[in-house]
Amino acid sequence: MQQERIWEALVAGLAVLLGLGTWYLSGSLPTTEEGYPGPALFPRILAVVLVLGGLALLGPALWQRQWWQAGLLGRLGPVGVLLAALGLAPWLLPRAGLVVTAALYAMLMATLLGARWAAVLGLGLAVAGVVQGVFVLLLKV
Amino acid sequence: MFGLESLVALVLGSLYGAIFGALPGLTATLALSLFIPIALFLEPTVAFSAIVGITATAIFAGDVGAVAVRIPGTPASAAYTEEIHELGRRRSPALALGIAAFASALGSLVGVVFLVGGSLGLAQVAKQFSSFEYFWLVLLGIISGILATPSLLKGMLAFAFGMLIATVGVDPALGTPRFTFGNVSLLGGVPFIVALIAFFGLSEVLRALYDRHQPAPRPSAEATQHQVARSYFLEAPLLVLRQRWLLLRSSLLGTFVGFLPGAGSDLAAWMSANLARMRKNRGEQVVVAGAGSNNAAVAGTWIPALSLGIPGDTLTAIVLGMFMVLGITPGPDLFRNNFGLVLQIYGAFFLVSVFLLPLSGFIAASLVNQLIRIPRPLLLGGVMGLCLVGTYAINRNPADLYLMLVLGAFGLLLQKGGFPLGQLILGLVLGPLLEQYLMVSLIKTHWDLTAFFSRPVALGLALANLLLVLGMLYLRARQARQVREVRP
Repeated sequence: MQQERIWEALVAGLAVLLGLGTWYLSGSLPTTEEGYPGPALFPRILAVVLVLGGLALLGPALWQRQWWQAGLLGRLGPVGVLLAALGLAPWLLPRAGLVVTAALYAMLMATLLGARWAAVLGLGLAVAGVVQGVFVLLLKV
Repeated sequence: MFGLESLVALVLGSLYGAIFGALPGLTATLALSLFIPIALFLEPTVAFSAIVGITATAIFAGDVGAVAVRIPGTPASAAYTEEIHELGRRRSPALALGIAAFASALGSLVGVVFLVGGSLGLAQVAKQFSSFEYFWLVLLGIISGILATPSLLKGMLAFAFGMLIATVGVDPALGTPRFTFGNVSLLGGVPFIVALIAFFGLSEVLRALYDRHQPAPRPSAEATQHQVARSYFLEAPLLVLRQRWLLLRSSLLGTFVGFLPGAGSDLAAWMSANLARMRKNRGEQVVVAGAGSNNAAVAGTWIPALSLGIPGDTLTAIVLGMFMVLGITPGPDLFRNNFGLVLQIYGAFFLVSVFLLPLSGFIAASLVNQLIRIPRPLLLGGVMGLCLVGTYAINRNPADLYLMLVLGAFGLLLQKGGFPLGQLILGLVLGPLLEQYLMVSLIKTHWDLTAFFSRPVALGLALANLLLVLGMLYLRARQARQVREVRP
């Protein structure tokens, strides 16, 4: 429960920031010919919802003591590794091709989850086979 | 009307849905999200046959995990997990799954009857609707979607996030680029399928990685193959038939809840199972009520989706996204321009209900223990690979992978904070519709807000919104009071 409050606070803070950012960016959008708000109206309504909703959640979540002591960062390590690896995917894909890239990421995920190397290898081959068969040969991706 | 290709797609879709639904952690939504990149390459009639197969069977197959390891494969099965697991342990897994399969099949059939009648009728009525009526209908979908979540605030924020993501691109009022930061590839908005894969695929993978030290589910019930066929095909249907009135009531309730935009099969199953418990029904009866109701709701959710273009739940939100990508307009136009496709969808639902649900149930009953023994790291590794391929396959644009990365990480944050991702996807679909109908109505009336209440149907729908909010808030307050009284 305490863990959830930490994440909740993070999302609430993000909602407030996104709301403020949306309000600010909407200011540069044009109005209608009659002078009424045009494309800015809907995002600004959402911005108000995000800021108010975010603040309503953020207050009680921050009020919880020791909320940053719940070992949040320690468990984020492998998640960070996968996200960093995914950041390389747009560079890798045109060079290694779709089949190899998909197999590599499937193998990386299984490794991070603690699968044994033989199973990881088997998974890589299986994913490569499925992607080659379905996406490359059948769907011509 | 139903070609061989469509039939094959329906069968394969059902098997694929059954596997995804059966495995704890892999939901019907994930199954559909990963299938959409493939569906875009198929003929619409073939693709939608497979989609019907996936959605209907995955919801039923959620019971497999519940029977075997007491972990529901899909949220819709969570409503009666205790009862179905106990039934499987006490009698046999085959009997428990047989009851769920036949109740699901008959519930689905009830839903199909209402799907055909309801969507055809509603499409006729919807021809008279203007932007005002549609505005209130979409708002009704958003409000009921928020009210269906355990935390109203989180539900509201999830919708707002989804709607905000949907504002990226060209706006519907003046055609001005918005929040694109000069990036040409964002002019068309955030690709729906990429968002779908990120929120339901990648975020699920990341969550599993974050929670990797949690113990894996272990089978507590040994599913022997002895007398599987007898329990499944003889005892289970008889037991279900003995509860025919309960099944009919639950299926009708399920169809109605499914019909309400934004509610969906999870809520239908909870309501029917709770009603059965309140009447002091036994385990089998709770299972019949819950399983019948959640599959009836699957068909029910397609009624507003087809006839009004408003999703009944997350799955139909994905289906509507697929319609948009294919350039097909749901609503009355769908019945006018693509009636063959509508007939195909009806036919697919009928075939799934009569043949494929009982059949896939039998396969699941025979393989129940083998299915849940597939190692989770390999399963999620495969999902990771498919997320990457699916995202790339849509536009063949490697930059979409960055989008997937950002939205997937955001999805992890939301999941861990207990924010409903389904509501975010509903917001992604309903947001542009709400803005479009709002702006069209405002511009054509020169910002006369009274015009929103000037037509009788619009006024009725506005009142329906008000009544829904007041009614649900009253029910929630009463429930909260009851919980406080029960606690010491």
